[in-house]
Amino acid sequence: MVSTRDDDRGQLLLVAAIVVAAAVLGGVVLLNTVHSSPDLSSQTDAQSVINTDRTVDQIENDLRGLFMANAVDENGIRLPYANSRFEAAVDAYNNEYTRLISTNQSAVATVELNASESIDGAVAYANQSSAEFVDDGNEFVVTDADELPRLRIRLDDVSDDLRVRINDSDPLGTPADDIEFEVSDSGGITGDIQCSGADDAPIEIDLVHGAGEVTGDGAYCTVAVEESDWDLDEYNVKFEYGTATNGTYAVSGEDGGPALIDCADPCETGLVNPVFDLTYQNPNVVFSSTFTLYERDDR
Amino acid sequence: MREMQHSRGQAYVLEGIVGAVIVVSALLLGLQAVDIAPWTASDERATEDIRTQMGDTLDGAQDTDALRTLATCLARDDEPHPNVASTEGTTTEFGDVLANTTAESFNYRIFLDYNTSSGVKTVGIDTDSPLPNQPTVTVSRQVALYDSDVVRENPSCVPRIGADGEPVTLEEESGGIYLADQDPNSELFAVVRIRVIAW
Repeated sequence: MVSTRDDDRGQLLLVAAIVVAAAVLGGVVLLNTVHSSPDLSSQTDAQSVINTDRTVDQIENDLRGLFMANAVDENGIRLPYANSRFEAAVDAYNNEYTRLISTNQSAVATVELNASESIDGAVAYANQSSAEFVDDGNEFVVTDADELPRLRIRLDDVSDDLRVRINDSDPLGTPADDIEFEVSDSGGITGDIQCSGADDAPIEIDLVHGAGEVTGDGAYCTVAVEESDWDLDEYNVKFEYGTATNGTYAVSGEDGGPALIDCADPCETGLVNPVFDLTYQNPNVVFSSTFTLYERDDR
Repeated sequence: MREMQHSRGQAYVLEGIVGAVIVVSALLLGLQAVDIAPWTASDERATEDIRTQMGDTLDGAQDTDALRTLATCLARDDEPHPNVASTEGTTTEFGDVLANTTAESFNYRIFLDYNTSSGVKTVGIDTDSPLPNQPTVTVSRQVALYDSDVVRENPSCVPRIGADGEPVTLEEESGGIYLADQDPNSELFAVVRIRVIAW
């Protein structure tokens, strides 16, 4: 009798074990059916992050455009410096942008000019009414700059070579110490930046802290001066040009070096490297950053 | 003996229940393995594809300033030119971008939104597509316009030339075109939104 009872108990234990296993399996099935909720949530989060990334990129691009549009010379050429109206333009952009995006999404963007972090300086530029490439005949267009956030040259005639020399000594020291490149109609651009195809006008060189792009008639190059070379105590920029050299330029230099910045006429002083406080917020993401227009990147 | 048979009967019942549970569980697991998700999620995936591709198209157009042209290219009535998004015949840069990317794949309608003193106004740029018969996505990009931006005209969106022989700017045309200078005291002219509904 005792032995029969033990058999029965064994069978019950087996059944109980199977019940537990079935419960576990059932649990797995049930849990599996609710997997979509966290998945959906992560999709929404990912979409929000993508939207935020894109929106911030777009705002930064708009600010670049607004900065360039802020100062225009008498020939309609946009210059890389900001006058006194720039802060009002940033405020207006902030208001209009938020007013527009808030009509179809729950989002707010705030953009402010950070005046205390922004850097003043000077920008020397070409005046097309002048017969000479540099109006006052001085070959040094910028001297004693702490940094060169933007150097832009457009050449409409390269039948005479243009040599650009940048050094931390004024007058320029030995050629071996220079950051130097030359534009000619025979070899394109050679030296510390190179673009052999850019030998036909118009040629445009646009550098931000020594890195950027060159476009010519049918040529395009991304270029960069070696980072170890683009590391001077102060920057003096000299153009060596011929009588046929023709085009425009805008070279901006930051103040704050060992000596006060100076530049060849025509020259304007003002904000040359603005810094912005940028915040974008939607129900899923809050993004906040400080955006420097011409930031020196590692390369 | 009677007591023992009663216990075994209970065990049989439990075995039957467990057997049923196992069969049902196997059935559920089997069905789960067949994954019916694609049936229910196909629309969502398709719309996400459209959103991504249309977003990339607008980003490409923005990189080449084609979205700025879209907002500043005007017809005779100084409203946005109806040909600015055309992908056939005389095309603009924006039309070319569309023709090379999404025009053959999706239907879309393009609108331009802008602020006025009485709220946001909308003007249709390309609204020829029939009404959507499936889920749609909306992709939009904002464009900041500046006082010195050039006004364009004609189906090919060439610069409008003024009496002095120079291209006319938005600031010079302010008051006569569909957009008003949103901040006359600064270089900012207006912020507009290009909004595309695609399906």
